[in-house]
Amino acid sequence: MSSITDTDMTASTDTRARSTTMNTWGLSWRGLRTVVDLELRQRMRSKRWLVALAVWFSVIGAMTTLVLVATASMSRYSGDTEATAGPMAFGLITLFVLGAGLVIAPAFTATSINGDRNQGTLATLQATPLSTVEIVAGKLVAAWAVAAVFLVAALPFIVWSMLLGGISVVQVLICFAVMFALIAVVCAVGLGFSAMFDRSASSTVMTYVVVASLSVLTLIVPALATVLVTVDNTTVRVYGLPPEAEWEYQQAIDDWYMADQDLDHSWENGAPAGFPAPPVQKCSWHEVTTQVTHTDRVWWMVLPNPFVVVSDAAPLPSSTKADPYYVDLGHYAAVSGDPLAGIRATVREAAIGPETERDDCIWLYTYLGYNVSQEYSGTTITLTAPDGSRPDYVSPVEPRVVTTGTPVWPWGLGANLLLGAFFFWVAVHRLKIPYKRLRKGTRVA
Amino acid sequence: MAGSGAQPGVDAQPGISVRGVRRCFGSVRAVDGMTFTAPAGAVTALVGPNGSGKTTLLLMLAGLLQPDEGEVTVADLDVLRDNERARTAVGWMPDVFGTWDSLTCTEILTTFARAYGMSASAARARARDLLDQMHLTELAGRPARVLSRGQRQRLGLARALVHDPQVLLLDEPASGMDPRSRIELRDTLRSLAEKGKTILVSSHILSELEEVYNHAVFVSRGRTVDAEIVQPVAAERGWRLEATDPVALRVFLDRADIPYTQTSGSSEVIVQLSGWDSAVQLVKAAVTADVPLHTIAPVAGRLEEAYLALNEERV
Repeated sequence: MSSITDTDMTASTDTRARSTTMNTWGLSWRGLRTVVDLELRQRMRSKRWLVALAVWFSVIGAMTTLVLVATASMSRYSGDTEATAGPMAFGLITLFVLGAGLVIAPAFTATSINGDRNQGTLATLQATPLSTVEIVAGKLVAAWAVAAVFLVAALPFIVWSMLLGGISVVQVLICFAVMFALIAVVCAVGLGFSAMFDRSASSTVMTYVVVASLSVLTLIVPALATVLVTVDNTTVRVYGLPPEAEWEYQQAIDDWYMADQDLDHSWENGAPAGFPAPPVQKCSWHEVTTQVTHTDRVWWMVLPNPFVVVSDAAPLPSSTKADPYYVDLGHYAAVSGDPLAGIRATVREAAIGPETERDDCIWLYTYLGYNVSQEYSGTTITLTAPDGSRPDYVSPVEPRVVTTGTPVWPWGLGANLLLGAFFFWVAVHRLKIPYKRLRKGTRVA
Repeated sequence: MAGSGAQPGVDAQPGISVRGVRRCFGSVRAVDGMTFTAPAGAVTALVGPNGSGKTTLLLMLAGLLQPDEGEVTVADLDVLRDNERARTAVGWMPDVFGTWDSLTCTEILTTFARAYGMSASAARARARDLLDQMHLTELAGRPARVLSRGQRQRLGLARALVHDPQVLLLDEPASGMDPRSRIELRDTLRSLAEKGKTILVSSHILSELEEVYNHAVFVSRGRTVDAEIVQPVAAERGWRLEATDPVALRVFLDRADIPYTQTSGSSEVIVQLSGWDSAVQLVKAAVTADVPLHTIAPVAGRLEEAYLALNEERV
């Protein structure tokens, strides 16, 4: 090669890189539709997918039946209204559909590109003016559409759970919208791996590894990490009986028990007669050294978990709006058994972290026959005396309330979408023609 | 149809131009310096043993593979700088045409017509025409997986032709085709060449190219082999002679002092002649000598002889 040719080569490399990029990322509606049509025809014609859909339908159906029977009998025992049986059934079915969706989604894309390559159908398509993005996006859209059909097939069972009451259409729509997005992410991951690996077994395994990491590792890792953020000898300020007063009061209680052998005291209306009155006037601030777990430092690791994303995005049943007590998510979750709210409350509570101040004093009032209730909309806890009057007690500690404010799911969904976008980019990058490098063992056609 | 051998630059319109192209896969040099032009309006044969880099070269011409070095243009478009337009100008038929199992022949063709930007109705019309041309109309509605290998090759050719490309790249197009299809393939290629298309056919089944090619490019071990080196060697070739009276023929040859070899178990003999003129002279002499000669034909095709004359080992 002469030196003149060498300079020619460098000059052309620049223009070549530019035009190749434009060509790679071009996206037209017609091109996209051509690929989507091709992919859908190819997939829908095979009998296998109908069989899979039938199996899917019956599995979800069986699961729904179990859940509904279980929740119905549970609410019968607990005497709860059906308004809570509905959210419980809906939550369980939604989580199950999401889990099953995450399991089947890789099947739609994890062998899409390397499968076509091995069949010899990819290169002829690449040789057409279709851009790489059109081919990859077409495959993604088609796979996603098929996966969406599976999700939609679960809708009748969701409607069934809605019959139990307490579930609004908005809730169903939002849950499904988020699930569609998450399934699209898994499809993109599979597509990326199918472009990276030549063997379909490798790409399938890797896709499942990612799905498992998202759904399981994001829970295990922060759970184990709590060990690292558990701190001994942390000082917590407590408003309550000072240690010596506490000790004296305990002595008094012990003495009372010793003197009185009748253990059948009714605690229904506060402390039984003769029970030592707590010296609430002695309540004051003092410091206690204790072990504290800083969950607020590790909680964010669960954010990308698909189940957390859906649970956090799911609106609360409309019945909760009427009840002021339900402003506290944790309270609602505990009472209703709604698994979506339960996951949501757990995550958000972990995000708040350990308490640095505590009011132990207020609970002593129950021994005096007072009714302690938190005014969740505000920051005060009110006491109600047995006669209905309200003493002027203001707790110096703000109650910890987990509310539905400041949703966390946008972060989780965002992280997932970034992951999907990355794998989409990988797929496009790997299929960019003309190929500069080919990995070992990769065939073009 | 008489081939004059590859003569780069002689014809006016270069349909395909390959200059100093190299391409490695790891340590394997698949294409190691190829230079040739294939003129428009002609069929150019790409001849070489297995593993000589034919398929790799076609991948570069189809715009799928980037050469490490050198320049590749099709229909005056640089395959790298003008990749998309070059791809549109080319119809590429790979050696193995994979098909979508559950798509019908019509659907495969319409899909590709759509990919090349045709409207839905134009795509359907084009698919119908091509299926008719390739005698696949009866199979139009059948899934492609039921096609035989030869039918599949015809569908592959139809697919490569779907957008009426200026340049046609065919990789072993006739493998698996029955004799009738091969003849039709030749006719198709000829008529396309007459319309001014550039056609590059790679094959190692030389007999199928013999009657259709105008130019030949020989490749061996990733390199184009100079046609001039090949031509002179190819001048001397074996001819097969046969007469109704084999004894008279042998006597005639003995008298004329022409060395011959007799093939076992048949009445034909093989003589070595250099050039057409020698053949003409032999025929004249035989007729004058009243030998009942009924067949005189070259033993092997020109391509085959040239190919064998390359005298390079298979890789």
